[in-house]
Amino acid sequence: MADSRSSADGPDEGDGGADDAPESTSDGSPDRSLEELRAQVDEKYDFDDFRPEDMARMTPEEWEAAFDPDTWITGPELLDRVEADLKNRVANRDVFARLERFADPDRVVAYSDEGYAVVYGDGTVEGMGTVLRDVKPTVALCSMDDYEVSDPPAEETLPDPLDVPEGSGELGNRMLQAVAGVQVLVGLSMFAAIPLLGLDTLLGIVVGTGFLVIGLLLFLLVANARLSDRFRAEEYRNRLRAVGIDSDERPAFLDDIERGQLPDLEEEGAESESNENTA
Amino acid sequence: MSSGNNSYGDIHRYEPARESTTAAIAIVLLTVLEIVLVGMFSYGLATGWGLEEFGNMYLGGLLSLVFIDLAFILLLYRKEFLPDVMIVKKRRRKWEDLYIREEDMYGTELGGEGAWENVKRAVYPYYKR
Repeated sequence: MADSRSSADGPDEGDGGADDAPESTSDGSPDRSLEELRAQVDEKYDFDDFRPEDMARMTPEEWEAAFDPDTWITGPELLDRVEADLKNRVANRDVFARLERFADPDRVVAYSDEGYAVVYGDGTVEGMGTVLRDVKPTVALCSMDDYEVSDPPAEETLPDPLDVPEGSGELGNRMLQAVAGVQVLVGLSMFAAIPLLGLDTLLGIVVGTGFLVIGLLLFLLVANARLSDRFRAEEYRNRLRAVGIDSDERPAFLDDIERGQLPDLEEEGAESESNENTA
Repeated sequence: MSSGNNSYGDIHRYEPARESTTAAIAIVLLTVLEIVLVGMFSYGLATGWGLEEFGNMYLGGLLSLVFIDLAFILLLYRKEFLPDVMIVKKRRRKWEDLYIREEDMYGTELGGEGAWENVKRAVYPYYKR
């Protein structure tokens, strides 16, 4: 999906208007014929029930006539809105990216360590990787009149690598370990109670084993949580460093973008998806 | 970084655990309760409460309470004491992707006329294509 203009190929609704903004709207044709054509198009197609077949049947001229660029926000205003919205989404940790605004041509660039998205004033989005996928819906939304963009936070929105804490949730770990310890103790005491208190042998073994297993499982759970927490915190810090949060280094491909080339990061921007994965 | 030139497994979001005060108090109380319940159950079992009818029911109730309590402790732990981590994963094909075109919404016809036609075609090689 590293194509620039999203055609009507995917099921991404609401992508239609913004990405297909026409290059020039002031083609100097007299307005009356346009009006006529527009009326014709309205007659010919049922826009309340507009299907892919209709889209395929439509000629470019009809499309131009039916498409009213004034209904979409474009140009610098669009870019401002996109920038604000993306800042918000980065602050909510919804998107992992850093933002830059390049001039000439005016464009917003969102980039992470292995992907980028360039948004132009006419609503075109180019780029690759997860960043592109995260940015596309934002552009579509921001081009709509009735979408409200709230004011973005002022400061750098991704956290500083040194601020990423390690070993959060220590109290919970302690509590679970206490429970696990008690379960193991009880399991052992069950075994001990067989000779000492004359507990039925089979019963003692079954209950004792049960408690032991539960206790050990809980210990395992805590150990795993701690380990994976440490590794993940470290990995997140590395990723933040790779994006250049704590230094002035920028990924090398940014300079290419600034010069107006589109780098190919020698990888397929394959369909990938972030999934919630706690624990 | 993950394995070289793809982004799978990259950490997309890492938010430390919330650890709200309410949750902290709750998990401590529940843990204390859990310890008490487990102690009572094991003591009762070892000293023979279960030999009469009522005591047996009492022990059963205790054991069930132990596990219910443990469930709530784990729930709190998961929600409030583990970091919120989101990683990039490969999107696998889902049923929703199967009939991606609107006209394929209802699949293909395999009943009534079509089925009988298929049978004829299978049996009689010169049947009209």
